Amino acid sequence: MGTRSTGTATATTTDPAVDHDHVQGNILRGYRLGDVRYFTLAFTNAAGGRSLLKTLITGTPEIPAVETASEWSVRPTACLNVGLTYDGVRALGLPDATLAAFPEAFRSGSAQRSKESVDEPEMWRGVGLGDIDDSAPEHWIVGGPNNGTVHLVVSVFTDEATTPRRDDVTVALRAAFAADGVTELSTHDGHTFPHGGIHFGYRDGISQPQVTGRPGPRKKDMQPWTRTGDFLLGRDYKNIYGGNFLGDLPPAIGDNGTYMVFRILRQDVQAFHDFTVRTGARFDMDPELVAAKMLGRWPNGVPLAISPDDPDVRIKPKNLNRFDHAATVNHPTNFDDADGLRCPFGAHMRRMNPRGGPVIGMQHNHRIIRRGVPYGPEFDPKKPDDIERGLLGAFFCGDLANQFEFLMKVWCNLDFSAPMLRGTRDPIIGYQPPSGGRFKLPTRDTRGVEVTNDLPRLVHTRGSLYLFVPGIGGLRTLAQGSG
Amino acid sequence: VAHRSIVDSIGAGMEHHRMLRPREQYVTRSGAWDGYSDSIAPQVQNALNLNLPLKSRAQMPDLLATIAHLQPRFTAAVLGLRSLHFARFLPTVDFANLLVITAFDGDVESYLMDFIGTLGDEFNALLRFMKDPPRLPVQDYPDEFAVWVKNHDTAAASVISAYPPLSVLDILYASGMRGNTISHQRGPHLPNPADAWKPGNPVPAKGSP
Repeated sequence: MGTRSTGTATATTTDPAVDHDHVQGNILRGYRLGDVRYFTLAFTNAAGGRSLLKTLITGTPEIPAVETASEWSVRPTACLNVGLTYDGVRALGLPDATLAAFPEAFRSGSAQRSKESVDEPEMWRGVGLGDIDDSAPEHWIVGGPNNGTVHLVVSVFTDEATTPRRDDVTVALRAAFAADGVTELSTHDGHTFPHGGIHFGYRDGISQPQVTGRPGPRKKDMQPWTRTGDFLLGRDYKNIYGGNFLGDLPPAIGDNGTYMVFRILRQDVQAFHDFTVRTGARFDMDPELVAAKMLGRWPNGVPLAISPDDPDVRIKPKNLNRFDHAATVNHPTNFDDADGLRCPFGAHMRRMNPRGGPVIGMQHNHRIIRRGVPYGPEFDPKKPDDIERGLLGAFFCGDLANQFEFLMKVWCNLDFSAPMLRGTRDPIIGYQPPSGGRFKLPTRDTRGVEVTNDLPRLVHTRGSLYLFVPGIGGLRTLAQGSG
Repeated sequence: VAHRSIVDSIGAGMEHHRMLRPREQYVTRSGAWDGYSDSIAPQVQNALNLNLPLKSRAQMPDLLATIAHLQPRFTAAVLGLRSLHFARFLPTVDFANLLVITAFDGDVESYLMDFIGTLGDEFNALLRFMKDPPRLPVQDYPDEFAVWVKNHDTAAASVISAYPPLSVLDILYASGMRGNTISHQRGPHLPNPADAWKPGNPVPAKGSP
């Protein structure tokens, strides 16, 4: 483990300081380690589950202790974190009253929520969270009705290129699992690419909420800072609504915890490549521009809102996220892209974070923290293959229903939350009908808006779990069998 | 079919106005017109009809006075949220119940938190008049508030609209009211142009802007 400096960050607002020693790592800040291995596990009994948690909290010479959000002076060579499903906290023997205090979405679990979301009134012809057809829970490899019941997810982040530790940690962990009667259901390995992008070729992770309670400085991005309470549970952590997401959960368990969606997302890179080439030829556009309009950024991360025509504009990395789609009260002279001529309203990035642009309801209250790592080899269009590749997604939020699920159900898979979306879904992560989905490409010339009707579904759900990621105090409480 | 063509005409007019360009430019090369009849959601409007029993009929005048007092806040908030077509507060003739009749876009669950975030304190003020209210403040117990709302909703047998696929946002946008999009860009650190009515601030005098 690297040397860490401990301490707290004092927000410059009314938000209370966060004791980062009590918050698990990889939430308020990322690790920037190149590799990850996720273990999905099942307890045989409560005692074994608690015993394993105790081991992970303190660590051993071979197993890193659960990493916290405290700042480092030297980056650790391995960082370990844990999250529990509702079945997991129940298997640890929590009292019924405590179990009932968890929010409904977490108690139902990802698979059930996906199914229920599709069954909701058909008034909007919704597809719910989009987990239908081959993405339906019955086809999942993790978290579905045909998979083993997961209680605990352990993630181990390492950097295999410089200081390989994953295999050694895995051996030690498996010994600990065996000693506590814990069954390993599956493992999932991910690795970042040298260019920092994901399989579709985009640079990823540029835009993250600037949480008031995060360690280190916050970046200026022309958006309001996000309140600690939007992500961390705690009576004093107010969310954007003026309340908090702790609810009736005992503070001994809930304080400094959060919720995470672990999602295995297969990405059809061949279909994406074919679509951008085909659409580019059809509309006389560079395929790279088609891809940029689908995302809202050029593959190198330059946002269309800043540079709609030239991906090679010189822009400092710290400014890649400093833009808005509209003039706002704090930036009244900002260009108002009210017609989506620079960045289409339907672009993935603008759909999922409209910033100051027009949208039904509040703009800034559905943000999530994304920690995705690709899996599978990079796609080479010159050497097509059938190897599965995609993203191991870790999405953090204080309210699963109003953050992650809202994004997927409303902004991703419905078409009336902002102008010019009718008849379309998110072009990157949205559901598309087998016959092909629509995507609108506003042009900046006399052609107006070009429309495609052959957009294939590009991201398919292969597994999904809703996890409670306790704070360090909560973990200790769970390990002690109290609460 | 006739209905759809009318809807498309409205939609076409709005697209025209919105883009400030001739409609012909929005007939795509493939000939597809991007109207509203191809919407995933054929009707975005929804109804919520709350039938709320009061703790005491004698409190109805005070409740109505409170509603009138809060009206500037409600008006400013719904203009900023851009999801509520209208809301009407109606006392029953015996003063036993308050009816809240609304038409809005989307589904209740998805957007209820936005209302809590914007009008939470106003809801708290009104709920204190109600019989068996949910736990307050609603900001801390949104799930219980959502269940309470659902339990007091009288489902409409049918919802009739002259323009079912058009949202408040569509209408505001078509009318050129784009500037209002800034009213909800407030975080804990940003000066808020709507602070005059922000929950927690002193209740504005009746009739004040």
